[in-house]
This record gives sequence, structure tokens and C-alpha cells, in this order.
Amino acid sequence: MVRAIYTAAMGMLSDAFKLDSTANNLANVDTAGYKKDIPTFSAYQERSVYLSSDRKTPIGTLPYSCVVDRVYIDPSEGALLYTANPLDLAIVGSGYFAVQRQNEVFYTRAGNFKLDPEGYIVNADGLRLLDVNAQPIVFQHGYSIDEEGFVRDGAGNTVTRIAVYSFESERDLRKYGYTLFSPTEESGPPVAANNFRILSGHVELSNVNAVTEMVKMIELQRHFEITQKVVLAEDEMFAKLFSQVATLR
Amino acid sequence: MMISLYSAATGMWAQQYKLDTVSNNLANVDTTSYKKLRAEFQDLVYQYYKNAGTPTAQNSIIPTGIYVGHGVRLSATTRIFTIGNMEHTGNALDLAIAGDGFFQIQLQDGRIAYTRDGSFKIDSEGRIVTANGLTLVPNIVVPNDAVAINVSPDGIVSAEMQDGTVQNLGTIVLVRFVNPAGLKAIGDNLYVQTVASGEPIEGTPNQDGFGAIQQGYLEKSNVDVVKEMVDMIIAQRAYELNARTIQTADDMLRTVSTLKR
Repeated sequence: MVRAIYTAAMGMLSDAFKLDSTANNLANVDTAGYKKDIPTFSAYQERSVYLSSDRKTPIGTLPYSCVVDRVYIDPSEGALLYTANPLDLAIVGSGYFAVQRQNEVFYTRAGNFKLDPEGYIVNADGLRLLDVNAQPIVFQHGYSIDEEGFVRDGAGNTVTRIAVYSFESERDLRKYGYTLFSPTEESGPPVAANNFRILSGHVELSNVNAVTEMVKMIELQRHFEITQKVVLAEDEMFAKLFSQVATLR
Repeated sequence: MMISLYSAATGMWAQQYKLDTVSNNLANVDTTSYKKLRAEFQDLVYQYYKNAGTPTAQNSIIPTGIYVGHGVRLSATTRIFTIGNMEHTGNALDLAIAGDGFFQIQLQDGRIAYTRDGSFKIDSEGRIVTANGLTLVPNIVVPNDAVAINVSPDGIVSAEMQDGTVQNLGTIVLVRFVNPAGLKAIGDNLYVQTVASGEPIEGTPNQDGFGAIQQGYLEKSNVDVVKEMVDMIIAQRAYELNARTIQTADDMLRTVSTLKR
């Protein structure tokens, strides 16, 4: 009984989830290195439908419900902003910087780095940027960073090279928050990237497109309202059923 | 309920903070040696409803998780120490540092503060002081009968006397920090050192990477008005977007409340 009410309610819950996801994207419209979330939905509890005359001939399936299937990351590149700050590093092409917190390594595209008092290159939370030998990088006066990630001293000698890693499936990375990612079984392990450029003096902005997120929000809101009408319509039908059809005369 | 309400609220708060930063930068667009601030953001923690790799009843695993983020947070306000434009003033006691370095200034409580504001004056006792009367370190005293003061690019201050002789008055020492962005601004164009900035490294102007002293020039603010205006527009629009999210969430909740009549 009242299956349509539950189906509609599941649809409304899916819309609420979609709004939560969109809200997070819009809140991070100005977060450097942020990658937007895309939720996908799937039909749930599909059942075969039979011809009503014999109840044996299948005529297709009918899903009873809709649920959140998965959320994945859209790894597309954000726009680059020129800042003139030499420790703002942006990766053009695929790849992630590796930063270390104690024994854990996280991956990020938020390239707004700073120096700590000991001269190490760190992110806003003090996590140290790693070089190709997985060692933190000391940045001294007169140093510069070239497009291939080589850190050079004032005389042009190579000091070290910034590590840039790529993943087989970037959209399956796990978001840790604080614009950090960690690899999962599905994303594959980090491998040295080879098709990238590092632009010093630039930051990569969020890849959230405000227009599409707004459209998505309007769409889900209207969908929510329409689905609510289904609940009301079903309820009215029952009201009619109970109050009129079942009346004994 | 509805995480979106709270996520959007963090977004509005973050953009409010960005506007505060932009307005302070714009207010200091003409402040000598002012260094602009930049608000930086990070996404907040994620709530995982289902982790990737969770086994399902059908003897398979879920390839990716279901998660939702909780909005945005302010991660840092970074001070950008790029060098501002040099303005020619012709005033003998206006000194600009063309490159890295800070002047050292003695505060009234005896601590040392650091500044790039080189608009110095001479007080009644002949000492070189800032506009607020704080003395330059090491202090240089200009004799009463000096007719001209000359500061060389490497910081040597000399005075030309009435009788035509030249007297050496001392040398200006500059300091540098590993992480100048870690300095704490105390207003009046002054900074003090913190744990984050590291210890001051002393040096002679025009040597070892320190900037040369340019007499008769002042370093202007490094605020770029166009960029700040663009940031202001972005902050306003992003604020509106997040306000719109709150409105949508509210509308949806109202829809729910009309389900039962």
C-alpha cells in the first residue's frame, strides 16, 4: 500500500542530498584548488511488471525508488589567477602536489604555499611540500621554481625538484577536507606525473561553475516541489477512497 | 537537518571575511609601504555516508563512496610582500628599500619593530625618527649645523657641514626574515616578529640579497585597485550565491511543512 508516497519521498530525499552537495560546491566557489562534487543517482528495487491479464508475461520493469548511487570528484582544471607571489604554484595539466603531515602524505592542487620559520615550503596548515625524494623542500632567498618543478638557487643550480603525482582515476580520490585528497583502491596509487607545467606566481581557482550550480539548484528545487505534488495527489486519492468509495449505504 | 543550510552559512561568513580584507586593502591604497592581505579558503571536512570499498550484499563492493562536504573555512590571511611602486619625493629623509629588507624601529616599550616605511624625520635632538617619533635602530644623530644629509645605496648616512666638510654619521642596518608573511602587523606600518616569521637576519643594504636604499623615494602601497575591485565583486556575488542556497533550502523545508494539511 501507499507505495507511490514512499517512492516520491525517496525522490525528495535525493533532492535534499543534491542540495547539500550543491551547497558545498557553492560555498567553495572561491576556494583555491577545490574540485567540485557530482552526486549521481540510481533506481533502486526494480521489479518486473507483468501483463495484468495473465500475470505471467513480463512487460518491463518498474523501479520503486531512487537513491544516491555515488558521489565523485570532477577533476577538471580551475581557472588560473596571476598573483605575482612566487610561492603561489599552479599545476597546468593533470597532477597533484604531495604534502606531508607527520607520516601521512596527502595530495592537493591548492598551490597557495608559504614558508615556515625554518624555510620549508608549507600550505596554510603548515603541511610541508615534498620533493621527488619525498623530502620537504627548503626555499632560500634567491631561489626560484621553473615550469618543470625544478627548484633552482640564485646561480641557476638545481637544488631539488617538486614532486607531482597523477592517479589513474582522479575522480575516485577521497576528499579529506582542507583541499587535501588521498588515494583509494579505485583511484590507484600515486605515480609520477609527466604531463604538467608548474606556473609560479599563479593559483588555480575552484573549478565550480556558479552558473551550472545555480541551474542545478533551481532544477532540484522545482523537482522537489513536483514530487511533493505526487505525495499530495496520492494522499488525496486515499482520502477519496476511505471517505467515499468505502461508504456503506 | 539539511546540511546545505549550514554549508551556505559558512560560505556567507567566508565571503564576509574576504570583503573585510578587501576593504582594509582599499582603505590602505595610499598608505606608505602597506602590504596587502589576501584571504584564503579551504573546504571543510567531509561526512562519509558510505565509504568506497564497502561490501554490499550482492558479493560486490561499492566502487565509490557517498559523501557530502560541510562548506568552507578561512584557512589563512596571507600578507603579500611584493614591492610597491617607488615614488620620488625629493625629500632627503625619505628612504625606500629597493628589494628585500626592513628598517628596525625601537618601540616605546623597548621592543624592536620592523617597517618598510622610510618616511623619516629629525626630532628636536637631531635623531632620525619615524612619523610617530620612534627612533631608528641603530640610531643616527644629525648635528645641528648640518646643511644636507646624504644616504648611500648601501646605507651609509653622511652630513655635509656648513664649512663644507662631510661627516660620517653611521650606517643603516636592514633585517630580513625567512618568512616575512609570518610577521605580526601592529598598525602604524610596523610589524613585530613571531614564532612563524623566524629570527631577524641582519645585513647591510645592497649586499647579500638586501635591497639598496634609495634616498628621496618612498615605497607606495602594493595594493592593486583593479584587482581589489574585482575581488570585491567576486565576494559580493559569492555571498549572493550562498544566500540563494539558504533561500532554496528554506523553500524546500516550507514545501515539506505543507505536505501535511
